[in-house]
Amino acid sequence: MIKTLSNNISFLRTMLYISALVILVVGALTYRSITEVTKSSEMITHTYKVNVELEQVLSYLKDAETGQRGYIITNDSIFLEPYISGRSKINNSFAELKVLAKDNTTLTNSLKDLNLLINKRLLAFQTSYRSLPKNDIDDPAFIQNFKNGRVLMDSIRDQIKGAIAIQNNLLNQRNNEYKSDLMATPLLLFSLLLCSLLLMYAAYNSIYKNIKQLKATNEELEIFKESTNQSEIVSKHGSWTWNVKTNTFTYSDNLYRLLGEQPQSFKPTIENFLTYVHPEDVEQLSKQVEQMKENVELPYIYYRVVHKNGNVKHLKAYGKSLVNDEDETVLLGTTADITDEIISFKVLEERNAELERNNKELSSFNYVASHDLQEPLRKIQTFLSRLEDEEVDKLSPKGIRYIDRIKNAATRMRLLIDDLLQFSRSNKADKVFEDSNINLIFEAAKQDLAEVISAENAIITSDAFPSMKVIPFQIQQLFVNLLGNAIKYKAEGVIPKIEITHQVVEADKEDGITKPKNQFYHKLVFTDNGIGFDNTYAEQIFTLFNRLHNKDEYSGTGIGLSICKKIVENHKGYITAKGEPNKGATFTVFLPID
Amino acid sequence: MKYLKNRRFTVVLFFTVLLIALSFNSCDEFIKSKSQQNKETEQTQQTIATNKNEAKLLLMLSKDNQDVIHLSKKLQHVVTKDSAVALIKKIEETHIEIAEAFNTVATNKLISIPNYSEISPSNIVLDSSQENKIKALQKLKAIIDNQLFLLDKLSKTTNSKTFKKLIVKADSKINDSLTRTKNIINTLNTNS
Amino acid sequence: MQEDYINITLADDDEDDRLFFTDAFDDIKITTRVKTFNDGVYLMDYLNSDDALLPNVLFLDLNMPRKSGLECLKEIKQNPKFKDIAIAIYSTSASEEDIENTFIQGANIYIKKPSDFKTLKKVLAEVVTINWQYHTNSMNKDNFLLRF
Repeated sequence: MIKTLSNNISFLRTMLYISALVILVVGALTYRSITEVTKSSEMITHTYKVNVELEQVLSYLKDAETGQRGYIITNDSIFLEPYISGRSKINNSFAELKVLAKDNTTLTNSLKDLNLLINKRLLAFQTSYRSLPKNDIDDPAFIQNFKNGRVLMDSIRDQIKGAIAIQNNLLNQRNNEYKSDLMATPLLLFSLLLCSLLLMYAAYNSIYKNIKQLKATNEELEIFKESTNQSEIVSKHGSWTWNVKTNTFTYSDNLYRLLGEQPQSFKPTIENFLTYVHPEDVEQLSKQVEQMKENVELPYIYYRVVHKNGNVKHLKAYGKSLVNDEDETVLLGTTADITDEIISFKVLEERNAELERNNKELSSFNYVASHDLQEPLRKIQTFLSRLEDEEVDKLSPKGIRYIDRIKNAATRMRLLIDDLLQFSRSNKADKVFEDSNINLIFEAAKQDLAEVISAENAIITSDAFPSMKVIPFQIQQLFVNLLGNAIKYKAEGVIPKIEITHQVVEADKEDGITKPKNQFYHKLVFTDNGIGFDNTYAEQIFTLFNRLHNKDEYSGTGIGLSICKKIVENHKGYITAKGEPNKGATFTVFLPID
Repeated sequence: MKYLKNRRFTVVLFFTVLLIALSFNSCDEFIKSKSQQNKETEQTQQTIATNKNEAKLLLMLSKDNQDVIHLSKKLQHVVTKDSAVALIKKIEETHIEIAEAFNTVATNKLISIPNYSEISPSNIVLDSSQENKIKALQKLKAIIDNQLFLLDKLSKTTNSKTFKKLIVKADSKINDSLTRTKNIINTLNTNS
Repeated sequence: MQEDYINITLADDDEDDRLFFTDAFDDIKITTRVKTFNDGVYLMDYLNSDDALLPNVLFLDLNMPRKSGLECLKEIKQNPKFKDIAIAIYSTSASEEDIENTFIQGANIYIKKPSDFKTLKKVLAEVVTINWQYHTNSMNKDNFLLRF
């Protein structure tokens, strides 16, 4: 949009020049027109003056003539007065005419002829009354003279008329010449003025539109600026610009706040900024700032600042350079206050370390405890069995019963310790996933339970399993626990039948999978025909030490299924249970496929 | 150069220069033409006045001239002395020459001059009486004197070359006539 | 069985376990001569001595002070003098790590101490009657751990 605006500016300038030119032209034309009108009017005046003088001459002659006639009639010399003064009057007129006819040879010649004629006439006057024999107007000579005089007078009149006519013709000619000019000029002027007005209006329009647009843009910019300021405050950012050529900086308001100062409280220069930077980071920052000048982009740089009140804040800055309209390199930068993140991160790190420590301690505690607990328990059991073997006949029935009870308790303790040991071993921490042959693992699990399986004549059917990336011994444990449970919780008098199926399924289509991380999963379903359970406990049974039966009904520590859940979670899988009392139970295991 | 690059500045500069140049020019024009006009009108008026003056003086001069010719003609008839007559004849001839000169200039200058005298016979009584003769001659002298006076006036007022030439010519001639007239008067005075 | 008795040695720091061990062998109908040592140092001192009577089967506990069972195993396997000794690891723990390590170091069999005397007798009897040469050739991790 800036482009169209600058085009508009050149357009306006052109308009301005054209209008100025037009007005100048108009002015010049007007001037010429006026001078011509003046000239024209002067010409008219000139012609008029000539005509008047010529008529005046004629009039003087007529007066002289009339006077002469009067004298002839009355013989009173008073009538000769116009005749006597006639010549000098005529001469005066000629004096004027001479000047008027200065540039006009035709008129001058005409005047010369006229002069001769006038002389002749005046002579005729003189002759007529001089040679007039007293009181004889019938004298033929006299009459002849009179006639001559009349002829002369006519010639003079003609001459004068001719001169006047010529003058008028000339005037007409010149007028005609000017007429067309004079007619055209006002029209031309008017049209030019109209054009000029139109141009000015167009220019005004253009300016008005531009101004409105600029205003609107300005308002938008103001709003944008405000929102930027707000967003800077909220996101704890500050921005700055650096005109490399003029070495001037501008800092946004929030940048000052990042340094713990009021907006625009000091002059934005690099030196002033560096005074806030942590002394250890100043050197590196200065170097990176120098680098910034040469490179187009500044990679992220991290440094600390120290507020006046001693607070240390961590800042992260990013800069990018671009070239503006005047070929100057300008660097635009954004600086963010990442103190909170760094603190959180540190806290998190610490917590993590603590948790890991705790975990490790607990694990080792768990392991060691159960391991060390095994020793004395084993002793107890062994000695008990020794007792049973060797001394049973020396004991009273009560004694035998007591030993039996001790044996049971010891066995339970052993189970608990074994399970605890299992549980602690199912910590993933340092276990390695490997591509494993699940079928083999399954066989190994069945081997582990070989005794129980054969004792109960359990029938176990399974699909062929593909290889999966797992922690082998944990999966084996999983199988052992699930199979073990299925056999343990068999229905009375029913041969336990366990079926294990395998499928590859899509995560979205399975209800058992919540928030899946992969698209496809292995689905292993363990179905048995045992006593089942109330489905309301479906989730509960996976909690640690949770049992649905007491120890007299079915042995167990309540740890088995939690171990299964832990193992499955280690593998980023899911395990669910579904039970129907007296019908059986179904355990579904999902293991992700990478 | 830095300022010239700034477009706004050049525009303003351009217009200011234009404005100043225009106003100077137009003012100048107006003042010149006005003064010129005034001078012209003044000059014209001056020329006309000069013309009128020249015409008036030439008219009076030629009138006097014609009177001199007429008188000298008349005097030739009444004066008896041969020498005197010859002188008078000379005077007549001289003045006829002058009249011709006057005519040429008058035609040129569009001035109307009479080539006849307007002295009424009653004014001059010319008979053979000495008294009257002398009176007539005195009159003649007076007229010639007048001519010189008029010539002098003309020479002071005219700028025209033609007139100046005429004046020079006429002046010497008229002075001769004057001398001759004086001589004739003396002759007649001594004679009687 | 070249001799008329089998030479058995046990290294175990637990007095009770030593008692069980010797009692078990007393009950087993196989002619054996049993020697026990209190820890790894005593064992190695004996084995390294010139007049040592090398056992046919050596039962080695893992958790012993001064010198652990694993260290003894390493030492024994390094010394060609002891190449004919069959080593059975006899330990309370049955952790993957221990089984793995002892397997790698060349133990012949791994026995988790049973908690029942009868089972103990059965296991011991089984172990000492294994034809070790035959067994070792076909040994892998699966049958390294004795199942009972």
